[in-house]
Amino acid sequence: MLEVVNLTKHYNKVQAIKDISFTVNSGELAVLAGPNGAGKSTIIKSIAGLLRYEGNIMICNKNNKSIEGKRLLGYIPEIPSMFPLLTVSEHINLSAHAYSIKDYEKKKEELLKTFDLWDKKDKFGSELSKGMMQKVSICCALITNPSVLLVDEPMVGLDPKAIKNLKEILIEIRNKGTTILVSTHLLDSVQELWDRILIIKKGQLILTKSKEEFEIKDKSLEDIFFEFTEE
Amino acid sequence: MQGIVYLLKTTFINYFKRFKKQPQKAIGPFFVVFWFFIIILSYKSKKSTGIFRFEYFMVISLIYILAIMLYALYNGTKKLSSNFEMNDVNLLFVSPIKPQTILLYGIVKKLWAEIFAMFYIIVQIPNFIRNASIPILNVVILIVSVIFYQAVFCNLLKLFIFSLNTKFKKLGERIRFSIKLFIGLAAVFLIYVFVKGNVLLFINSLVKVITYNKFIGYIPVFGWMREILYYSIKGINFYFWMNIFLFVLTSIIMLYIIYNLNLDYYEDVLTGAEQLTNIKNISKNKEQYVSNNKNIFTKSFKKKELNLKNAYGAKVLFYKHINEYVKRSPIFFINIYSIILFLASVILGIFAKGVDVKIIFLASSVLLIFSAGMAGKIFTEIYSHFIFMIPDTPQRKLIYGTASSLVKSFSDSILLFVPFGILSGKSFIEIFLCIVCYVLLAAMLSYSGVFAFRVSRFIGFDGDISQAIFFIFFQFFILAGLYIVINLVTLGFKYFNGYTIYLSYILYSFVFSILSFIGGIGIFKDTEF
Repeated sequence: MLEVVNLTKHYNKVQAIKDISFTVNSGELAVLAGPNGAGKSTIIKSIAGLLRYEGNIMICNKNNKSIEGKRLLGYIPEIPSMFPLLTVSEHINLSAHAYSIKDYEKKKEELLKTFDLWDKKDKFGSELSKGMMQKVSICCALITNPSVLLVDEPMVGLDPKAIKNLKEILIEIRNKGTTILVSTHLLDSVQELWDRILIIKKGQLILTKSKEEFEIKDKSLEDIFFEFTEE
Repeated sequence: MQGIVYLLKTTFINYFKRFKKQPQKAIGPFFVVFWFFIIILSYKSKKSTGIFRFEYFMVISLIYILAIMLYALYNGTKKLSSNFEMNDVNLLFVSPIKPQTILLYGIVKKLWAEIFAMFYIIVQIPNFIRNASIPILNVVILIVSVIFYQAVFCNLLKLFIFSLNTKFKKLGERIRFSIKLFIGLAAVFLIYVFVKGNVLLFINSLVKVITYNKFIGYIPVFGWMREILYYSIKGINFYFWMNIFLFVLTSIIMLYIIYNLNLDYYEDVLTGAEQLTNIKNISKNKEQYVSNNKNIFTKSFKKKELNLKNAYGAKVLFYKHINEYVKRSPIFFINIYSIILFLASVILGIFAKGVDVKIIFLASSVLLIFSAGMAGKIFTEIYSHFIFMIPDTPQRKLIYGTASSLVKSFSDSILLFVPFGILSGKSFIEIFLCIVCYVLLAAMLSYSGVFAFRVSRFIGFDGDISQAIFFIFFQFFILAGLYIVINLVTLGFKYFNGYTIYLSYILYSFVFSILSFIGGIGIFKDTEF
């Protein structure tokens, strides 16, 4: 479970995030949406523990900056970056060991095969295309078996097959109880996945609602987004 | 052309306008100007106390001038070095502006960047000629001439050679061969002189010929520069201005030819533009840079699997770094830098047996202080989210993140001190102390580098220039502290005889390492440092 309480973030004198609070339950996939510059990436990075902020962020009742909290957290960044001298396979080993995961070889093989990286597992980070880097980033985050997974613009740079596989994996881990927070502009791409929507506008949370709470059940994310963001 | 003029004009105006919004951005440029004036004014106010060796000034300067020229010639045959970024590619290259005009814009960008990059060398000129007692105006003219030579002339030369190379395919090969032949012959000749000849006599004759032989003055570029240096010290006259004129005229002719060659150069600068944009994104967005540019310093030499057996948490950083060193080095930790240290050690051990090992230790430690800066493996991690996400304590991250640099320093120190010690028959204890002090100094620099990086970010020195200046000051601060400690220890522990310098290093490095470690830990709390 992910709990964000009174999160406020300043960049110098500019208040980027204004006292927002929300909860995403275990086994729930929440979509974080908002116009450009609304503060979505700032929220994701604050939860990932990469930024300083005011407020409180808890990962399954553990502070997100504590070692226990970090161990439960997975992060797929918007811009993937690889270590130039590590191979694809070594990137995944590194993530597993950094998170003290043992016996991960079988899962690694499954992930590499799912994302068509098996035959590229010995390629160096510097030899990968942006799409391949994105796939490796996904594998690195998933190998750690996170309880809370943060995904920043997940579909950008992926080929159709990888998008399909990623969606299937997100559904699978959500069903197993993982909390997922996806930040995206491509609302169509998460239409069949979402359980909760969080809409941010000018640094403020203007909507947090689960699918069940909407009166019209088959309302599209796009319709909801425009309903709450258009002035 | 109007578009380019507009772009240059607005970029220039906005460069100053942003200081209003982000005053910390002005610190770097302000320091550059301030320091420049301080150096010029201090030059004026100080009376000369030492002896100015005119011939040595000429020879050292001309070696530098020759090296820059050969580099420009060699580089020009290889690739088009530019300062274009992806915004130029996306917005200008596809626009209906003549490629020649965009090339001129590229030259202006390159010159601007080079002038800033030359700052460190420029400030050395007044120090170098302090005892020459020449008028301040001559100093300024000399500085401007050197800037013109390096930033304008050599860049145009590079571009000129590149342009000709695209038209005459064999030219590049021939130039590269000639340069290699020249360097090879010079190296063979120097070795011969050092082994068989009279070194002092040779140096004296070389110095005299290079400084005074009038025929050298007629050699294009090298000779012109000799005349400019000569007359800026001896007195500016008609010949000085004539040589300046020759440089300007040659530059204009080269520019004219380049402009009219209708180069199809866009493809050649694309990779460079991508790399430069990536590098700039590092400092702006704190992203990790993955270079696809494989040269001798970045390519992987061999495949060596990352072995993480029983390594968990922050410990993986150490194993990852060791693996990277091994992949990038021909033999274990021994990379190009280590080989240079080893060769220097062997050459000194054979030809300079009488040199005190303390001199070599001091020189290598100064080199280490000024080269360490942000060179450690830890700085390749700071821009990636990975290190921040590792579920482990900041202390362990800092220890394991810097540990591989210490192992590398240990390996380098053995290559540097042991061959020299054996060949020149120095005391075993002293060689051992040199190694200990070198490694301790490296530890101190690793931790203090992280601490300095944190401080520079905290006070808003996040621009390339301001950060570089901050690091220069920080290195001087380290040196000053070290100097004070050496003096205090020498006064307090006279009975240690020749070992006081090592005692000072051990004390200073140890205390400063602990303080820097404590100050640097916070860097791993979040990416905002």
